[in-house]
Amino acid sequence: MHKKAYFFTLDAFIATSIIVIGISLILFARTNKPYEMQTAFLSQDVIDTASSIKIYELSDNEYVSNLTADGNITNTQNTVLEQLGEFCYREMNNTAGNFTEKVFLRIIPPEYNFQLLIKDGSDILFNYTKGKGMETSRVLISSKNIIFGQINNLMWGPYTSEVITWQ
Amino acid sequence: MAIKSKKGVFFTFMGILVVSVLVLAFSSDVYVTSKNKIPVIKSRVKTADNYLRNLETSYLETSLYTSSYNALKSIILYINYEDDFLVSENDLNAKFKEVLLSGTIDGADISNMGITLMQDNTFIYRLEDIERMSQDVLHITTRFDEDNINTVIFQSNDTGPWQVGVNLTMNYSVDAGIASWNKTKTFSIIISIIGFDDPLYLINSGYSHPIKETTFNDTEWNVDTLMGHIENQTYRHESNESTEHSPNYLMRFYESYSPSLCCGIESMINETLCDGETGKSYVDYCFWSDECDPGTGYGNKLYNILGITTPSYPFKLDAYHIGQYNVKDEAEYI
Repeated sequence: MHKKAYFFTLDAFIATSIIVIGISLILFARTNKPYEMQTAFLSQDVIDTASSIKIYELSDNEYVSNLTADGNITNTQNTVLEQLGEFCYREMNNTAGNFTEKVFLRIIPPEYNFQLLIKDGSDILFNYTKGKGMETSRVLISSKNIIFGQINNLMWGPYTSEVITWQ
Repeated sequence: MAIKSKKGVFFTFMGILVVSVLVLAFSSDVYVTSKNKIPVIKSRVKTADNYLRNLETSYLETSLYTSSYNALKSIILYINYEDDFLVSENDLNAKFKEVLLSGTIDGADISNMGITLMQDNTFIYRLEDIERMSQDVLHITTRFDEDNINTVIFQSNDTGPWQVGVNLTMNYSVDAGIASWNKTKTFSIIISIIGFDDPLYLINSGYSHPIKETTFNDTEWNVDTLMGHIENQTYRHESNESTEHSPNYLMRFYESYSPSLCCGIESMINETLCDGETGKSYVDYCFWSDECDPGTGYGNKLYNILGITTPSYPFKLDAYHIGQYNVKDEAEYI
């Protein structure tokens, strides 16, 4: 009699364990999001970094140095995002595109895709997209910031800068 | 048999209980439901904090600088438009505030006078812009108390003679949902007056005479440097403790010729503007007032200066300024 009771206990223990392990495997398989947090952090990090790095800190970048020497960059105290906004304000979108390629591609890891937008209200002043599959991506993270600046004695902006990253 | 079966069921439940306790013990994360919210709250507070810092250290100061710069230029254009000086220092401050905040003078839009510098450039316009943007982009509610803004434009030891200062005090609030701030703060900016028109010249002569600092200091004056000073139409700040000082830049807006110890500046009337005048000292504020006329603290006589005074340009200086410009040897009383 005692042996039977232990058998039932052991049987129940094994059965419950199998059920719990089974359910856990199913749940983990369904909720596996290995890159979502990285993508989210990347989007915010790109905005934060581009909002804090100043032009003079990129003096080792030949393209930026040339722009400064040519007089296209007039204030090396501008942050990277402010400089992009200023290019948009001065309608230098080609320069803004090249600037993005030379500066942003060094910040963002190559396996990530991103889109950079500069908007004045609902008007898109600048759009740079690297990579495809934005429409079909399961993980699409957007981070925004407000940018503005000063040229001589006039103020431009505030514009919205938005970085969208996906995988 | 019935008793034996009940024992088996009891042990079965015991087994389920043990497994449940083990599962729960090793998956404690499930119970910390707020843990998932912590990064969101942290991110939200960080965003609000960054926004507030950016607002205070950059946006409002940049807005105040550009709006003040253009407001001061607008007032010069207004003086030129009206062809008259302002009434007093209080009048200057009142008009400056009105132009800075709303682009009007005495309630009238200055763009109707052809002065368009403040269009989409007033300080209130900038405040409303950032209120809208912070709501739309960051979902942060920003409110400025636009009816209780105080401003003052001044020159002092802090600004020196070649700059003007603007102080603006206002109340504002920032509400990010999970955190909010209510603040009263004074923002200060300094504007260089180099390149700004001198109102004394605009009204008295009708000519534009931008402020340009002389390259000579007070130990370098002689007849040659004085000649250069006249030809280059530059301004000099008197760096001594004398009471016979020139008025500062802002005093020229309301035609005050009183001395400004910290910030007085003066230039010389050139040949184009002198109109053959022989009864005045050619220092600008002396020329258009009776401050330096014979019998005042500036001396009893006017002197020609050899090497500068000609029949077509009857340049004269009072005794005080002859000493200041170190041209005693070239001074001759006729």
